Amino acid sequence: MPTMTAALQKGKAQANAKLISNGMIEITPDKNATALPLDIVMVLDVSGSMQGEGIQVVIDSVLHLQSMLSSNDRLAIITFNSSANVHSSWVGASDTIAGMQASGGTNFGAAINKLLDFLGSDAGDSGRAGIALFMSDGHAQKASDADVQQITSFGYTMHCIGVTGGVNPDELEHMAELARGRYFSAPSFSDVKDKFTKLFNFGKTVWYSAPVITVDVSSGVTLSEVMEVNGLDLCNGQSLTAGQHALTLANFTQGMISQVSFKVEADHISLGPNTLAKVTFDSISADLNVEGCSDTTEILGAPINNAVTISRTTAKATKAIKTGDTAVATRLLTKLDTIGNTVASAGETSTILKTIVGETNKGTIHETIGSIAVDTTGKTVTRKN
Amino acid sequence: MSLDCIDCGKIFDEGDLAAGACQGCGEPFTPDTVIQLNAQFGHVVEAPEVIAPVVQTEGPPQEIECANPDCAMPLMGDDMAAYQNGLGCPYCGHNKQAQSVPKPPQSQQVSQNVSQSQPPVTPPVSSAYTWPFYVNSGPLAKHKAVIHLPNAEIIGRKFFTEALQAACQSHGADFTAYHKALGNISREHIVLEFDVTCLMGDPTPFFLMDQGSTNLTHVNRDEVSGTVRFGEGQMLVLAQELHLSMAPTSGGIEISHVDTGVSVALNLTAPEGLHLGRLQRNGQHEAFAKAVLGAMDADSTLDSDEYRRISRRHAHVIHHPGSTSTTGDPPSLSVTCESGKDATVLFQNATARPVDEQNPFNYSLTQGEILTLVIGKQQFTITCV
Repeated sequence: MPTMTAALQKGKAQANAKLISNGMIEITPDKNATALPLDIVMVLDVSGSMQGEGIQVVIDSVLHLQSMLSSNDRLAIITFNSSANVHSSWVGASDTIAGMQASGGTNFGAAINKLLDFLGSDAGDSGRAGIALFMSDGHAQKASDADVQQITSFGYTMHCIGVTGGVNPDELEHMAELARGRYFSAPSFSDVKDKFTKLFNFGKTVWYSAPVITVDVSSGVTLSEVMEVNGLDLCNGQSLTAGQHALTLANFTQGMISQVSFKVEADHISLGPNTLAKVTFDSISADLNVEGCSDTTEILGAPINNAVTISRTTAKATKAIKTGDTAVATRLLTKLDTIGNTVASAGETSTILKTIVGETNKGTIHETIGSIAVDTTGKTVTRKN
Repeated sequence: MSLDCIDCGKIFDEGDLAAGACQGCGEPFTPDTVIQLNAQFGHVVEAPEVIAPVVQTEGPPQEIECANPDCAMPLMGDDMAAYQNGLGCPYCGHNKQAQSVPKPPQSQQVSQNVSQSQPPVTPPVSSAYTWPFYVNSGPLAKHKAVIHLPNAEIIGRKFFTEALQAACQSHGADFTAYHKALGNISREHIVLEFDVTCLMGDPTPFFLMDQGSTNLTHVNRDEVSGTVRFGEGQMLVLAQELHLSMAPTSGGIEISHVDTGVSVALNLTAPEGLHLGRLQRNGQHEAFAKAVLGAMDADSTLDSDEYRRISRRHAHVIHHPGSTSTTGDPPSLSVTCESGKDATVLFQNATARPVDEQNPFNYSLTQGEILTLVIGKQQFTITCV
């Protein structure tokens, strides 16, 4: 069984006062968790802008991905231009796939709607890892954010792959974030093969696809800036106020722990134990507690959970890098360096992130940030796949 | 000076310190900020005690070799005990304590050897053997104050509090400047033990054991985990605050930074010597420079940027032990500058000798003689004690 903890930056706070602090939820996989068989749905751009180099990359990619399937894995294909069609329903490694041609406009909305229809018509199986692969050059009419988010309600996450040299990565990365997936930059077929290998190996580590946690926020408490360590915004900039909220996280994978950090505001801390929120995932739960004290010396002497500080700062730094706010990113990396004087892993995290700050290719930035995760020792790493 | 939040501009008060985060915007504090605020508000927060892990010391040796190169017989059991107790090798009669290993001197003797001008500080311990250390941080550094660490005893906050208090009283220094450092030192922090089996000339004749301290022990820049070797010329840093270095024994050479009094013994056998600059040749930070910079930062009358203007690798000072044979070289000192750097050596009679890459300085320093090495606006004294 996996384990889950919820912690505030400090376990003690001034009683009968307001509190602004930071918190973190951490979910660690069961050591015996096994990888799930894959259901992959490719959503392929076959619009006019993909003529020539683009469509050839797409066709080669389909054949390559099909050759990588194991006997338990399945592949379906949806193609789209100004409208979308199911090109191939579930096929295995040895089935024939019809050819494709590029023409017409590009409508991401039509593609996402067709994907949702397809996933809705499929019974769905919680014992399989559902992964949608969206391949496009990124020049298109946008899909609605709500539709893209809905993909996760079918237990699927969606990764976006930017193909051709003229790719526009921003919308693709945005969709990947909404669907709890990652963005990959692959201008050529050789890049696609490399990314597929990474994605496939990543898929082979999934032990829980599109996991949903329920956060029951207590009265007078607000959680905001709810993010995973790679800056994945789980509430799309919204705050969680009193009541129950379902949050879809990125896939849980073997060898990694899932960290969700947030800012906490409580209107009033009572003397004695206070539960600010209750978090539930499957059959496990954890309470976000703080003890209200009146003795200042006791509060000052209470240890600070540096892991919360590091997770929060890392998430905010990756978000700043992703949004191009270099000044904020630099300040937060300096902060991580400072924490690194006390906790070595913070310095290592800063070193990882500094390699991205100077990067000018947006696709590379998005891809590297998407690969940031936390291993079971609590150390921030970039997945090597 | 008040600290304020870089994000929202709020001037931090005790409420922020108690929460461990800015109560204006929720930005979590780094450990350094907590320390600074504790100091600002005059809180001496004791480091939380941890259950010290079982330290796997090397334990007594199973056998030792007779130090007489013509004998070199492995000695075990009673023979080994007798040899260690000075009864001589049962095979060749070689007396270990008399001929190869200096007997640990008593504290009073060592104090007199270190510097006749310094008032000896009464050690607050009753241990049989103690070892003299310069205090290289805080107001005692200027006085080149010495405290004596007991041999083979677990020492921590209580010991250092008493030792520093006594030293401050003796030198008229401000003891409150050490509150923060003492608050971070654990109750059981380290053990320093002379290795009775080491041979003459061993540059690191001590075992240094960290006792699972909360805020760590470093030798130079390396964190001590379990047991390490220790000796003259190394900087011992407790809880990342208190810098100590072993005072040289008679005949040794000591370098002091004139403005701060930070002093270190030159290790007789270290081929790299001491780097006067911020980095060693291997790229690691020079611990001596770090101590100097820390002392300058703590003194409002000094500008640590002046020290930083010394190149990262400017010059290094080496003590050549010479040969003990009648035809060999006498012990000497050399100062070598890096390419493009220069320095000046001032003799006591005010004669100046320029030093650069092509003109290294080699000199046989006599006991009691003091040279001054000038690099830019920084001055260092080199003394044979």
